[in-house]
Amino acid sequence: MRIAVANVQVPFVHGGAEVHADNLVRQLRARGFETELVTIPFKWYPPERLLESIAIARMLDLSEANGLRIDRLIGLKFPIYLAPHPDKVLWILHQYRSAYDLWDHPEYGDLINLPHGQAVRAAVHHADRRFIPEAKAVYANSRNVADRLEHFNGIAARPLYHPPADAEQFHSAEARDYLFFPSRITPLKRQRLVIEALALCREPVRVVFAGAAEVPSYMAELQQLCREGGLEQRVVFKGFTSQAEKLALYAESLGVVYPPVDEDYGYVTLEAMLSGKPVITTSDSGGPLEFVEHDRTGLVATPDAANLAAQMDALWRNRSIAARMGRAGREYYDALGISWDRVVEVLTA
Amino acid sequence: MSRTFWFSPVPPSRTDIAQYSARIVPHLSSRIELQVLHPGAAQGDGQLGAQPMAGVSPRALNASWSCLYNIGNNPVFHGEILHTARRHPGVVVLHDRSLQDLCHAVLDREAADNGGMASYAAAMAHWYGRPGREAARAVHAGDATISSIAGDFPLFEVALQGALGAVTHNPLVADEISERFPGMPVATLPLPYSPPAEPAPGPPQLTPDRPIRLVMFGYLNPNRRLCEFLRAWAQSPWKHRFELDLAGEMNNGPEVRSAIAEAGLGERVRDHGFLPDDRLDALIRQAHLVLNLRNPTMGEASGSQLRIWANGAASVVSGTGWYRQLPQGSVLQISTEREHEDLLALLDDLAEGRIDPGKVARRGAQCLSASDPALYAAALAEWLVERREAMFAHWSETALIEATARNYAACTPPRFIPRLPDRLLG
Repeated sequence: MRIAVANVQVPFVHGGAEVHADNLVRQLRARGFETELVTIPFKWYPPERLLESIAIARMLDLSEANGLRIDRLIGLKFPIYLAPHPDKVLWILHQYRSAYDLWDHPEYGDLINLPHGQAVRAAVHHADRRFIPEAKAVYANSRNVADRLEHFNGIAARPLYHPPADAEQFHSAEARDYLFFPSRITPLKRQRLVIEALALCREPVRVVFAGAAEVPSYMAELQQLCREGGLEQRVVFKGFTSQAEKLALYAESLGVVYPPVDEDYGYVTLEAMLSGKPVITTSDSGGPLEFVEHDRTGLVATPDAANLAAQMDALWRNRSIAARMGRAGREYYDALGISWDRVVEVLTA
Repeated sequence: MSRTFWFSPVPPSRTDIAQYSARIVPHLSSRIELQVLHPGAAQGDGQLGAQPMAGVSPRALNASWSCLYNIGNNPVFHGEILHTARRHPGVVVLHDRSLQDLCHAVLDREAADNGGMASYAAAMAHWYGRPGREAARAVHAGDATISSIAGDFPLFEVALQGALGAVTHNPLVADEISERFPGMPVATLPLPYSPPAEPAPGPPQLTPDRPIRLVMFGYLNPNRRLCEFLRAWAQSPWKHRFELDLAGEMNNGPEVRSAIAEAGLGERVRDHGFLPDDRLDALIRQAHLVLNLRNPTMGEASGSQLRIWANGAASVVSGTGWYRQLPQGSVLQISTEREHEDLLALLDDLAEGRIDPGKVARRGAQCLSASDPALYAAALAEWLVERREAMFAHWSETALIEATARNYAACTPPRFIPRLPDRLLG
C-alpha cells in the first residue's frame, strides 16, 4: 500500500506536529508501507491567506504520483486535510483553532481582531463541514480534539492515541528538587502562570523550563517577571535540550507541571507518566485532563496562580505521595495500550 | 444571538436614510439586539441610542451576529460606512442604485491612504471594462459629469463586492444585483414610511383665479431636472399661472439662480432652503403638484415619493427606474426621452384643469399600505435569521473561487484576453 501522509509546514518552525508527522511516516515504513510525507507551507495572516490555503488544498491531486496510484491519504492538519482523495483517512491533530475554540479567547484569539475575521472564520467552518466528511474515517489524536469536531462541526471522530517519540527510552530515577516544565516557550503553554504561582509558593519550589523560545518577547517578559519576583535562583531556563537531556530531566524531576491552554493532546503528560512522574495541570488544559486523575496520577488546579501554587506546594511537601502518583501514572499509561501498532492498524484498515 | 450592528446616519443628519433608520430601528430592536452606529463624531442628542462607529473595534464587529450597512450615494454620510463594509463583510442595505458620487469621493482617497484598495478609475475598469475606464477618464478630465454617467455605470458593485447579502427596495435593482453577484442572498422589501400623525386632507382644488402651487424638495442636484423644468416653464403660455416653492439643498445653486433669472421667474420662485420636517410636510400639503423628477435616477427607491403620498399630495416623476414601475395613476409621469415636450404638456393640462390632483393623490396614498415600518422590520428580521447561514456559506464558496481566480489571473500575461471555450459556455 502506498500512503501519503499530508501535513502543513510553517517554514522554520519545527514543533510537536512536525515530530508527530515524521513519527507516523517512520512507523508506517517500519511496518512495510511505502509512505511519503507531503507538506504545503502554511500562512494564516492576513485572514484572506486562509482562503487561499483552503483553495490550494482543494487543488492538490494526491490520487497518484509519477503514474503510480497513491492508495491512501492520511490527513493530519488544516487545511491539507481538506485535499480530495478517493481513499482518505483523517487523523486530525487540530483544526484551525483561531476559528474555533480560540476564536474569542481574550488572550489567544487573533482572527477575531482582524478585518474579514468573521467571514473568514465562517469560510473555515464551511470548508471543514463540507470537506472533512469526504474522508472514509475520521480520527482525532485526542478526545479533546474529537469533542471540538463534534461541538463545532457536528462531525463524529474517534480518539486514537499514540505514544510519544522514543517512548521506550523514558525511565524514572531518584527525584531531585525541581518540577519540570518541558515545552516551547509560548503564551499558549502558559509558562507565565507557573512563574506567577512560584512567587506565591510557601515552599522553596524550583522549576526547570526546557524548550526553545518561540516568541522572543514572551521569553523576555518571563525573565523580567523572575527578576521582579526575586525568583532567579528558583527558575532555570534550559532552552532547547537534546533528547538525552530531556529524558534525564524528566527522570530526575519531582514531578511535571504542565498547565497549557486547552491543549489538543500533550505529549508532556504521557512522557511524564512514562517517566513515572505525577503531573500538575489545570482544569482548562484540555488534553492532559484525559489522562491526569486528581490525587491519583497528578493534581488538577484551577487556572489561577494561587491554586496552582497550592498544588505545587503540596507535591513539594510530600515526596512519598509524589512517588506514589508517579507510579500510578506509569501503570495507567501501560493499561491504556497506547502503541504505534494499534495506530497503524487503525489508519491502514 | 449576539448583537447586530446597524450602520446608518441618524437624525438630525439631513438625509432620508437617517429618517428611514428612525422609522425602522425601534421596530427592529424589538426583534433582534441592535446597536446603531453612525458615521462622524459623537452626536449629543443620542438619537436611536446611536454611537459613533469609529469607536467600535474589529473584535466587536467580528463577534457580532450581523452587521447591516446602510449605503447611499452621499459621501458625507456613507463614506465611512462604505470603508467599514469593505473590510468587514455584512449585509448592505442599498438605498441608491448609483453610488457614483460616493465612489468618486471615497475610492481615490482610500487608494492614497492604502495601496491595497482600488481607486475610482480602477473600480470603473474592474466592473465595466474599457468603457468604464474611458468614462472614468472623461470624468477626471472634466469631459463628463458624474451625473451623466451614473445610469450606465452605477458602481453599486463596489459596495456589494464581498458582502454577505443585500437588501433593496426595488425588484429591478435586485435583479441587477443577482446578475452581478450570482447566488448572493438579496431581499426586496417595500421602502417603509410612517404616515404623519394628522391625516392629510388632499391637495387644494385647482381654480382659475388662484395660482397653481408647485413644490420641489430634497437634494436638488442636477439630476433632479430643475433647470430643465424652469426652461419648459419659461416657454409655457401659462407661465403666469404657476408658483414654485423650493425646499432643500442644491450643489448647483448659481446655475439654478441664473436659470430662474433668465426665465424671468424670480417673482414666482421661493427658495426656502432646508426646512424642518413639520414645515416641509405643511408645504407639500399646500401644493397642487410636487415635482419629483430624476434623470438619471440615483436612488433605487424614493423616500421622497412616500413622503409625498403620506402628505396626500399629487406628484410628477420621471419615467425611469423605480418610478417607472409605480402603479398606474399613483403619479404623473414624464418621459425621459421627450422631457421638454412632456413638461410643457403637463403645464397645459394643469392650467386647463385636465388633471385632477386629488385623484392622483388618493391613488398614491393607497400605495403606502405596503410601507408599514413594523411589517418591514418583521420581514427584514425574519430574512436575516433564515438566510444568515446561507449568506456565510455563499460568501465562503465565492471567496474560494475568487482566491483561486485571483491567483490564476496573477499568472497570466498582462495582455492576456481570457476566452472560455464554447463547450463551457453552453
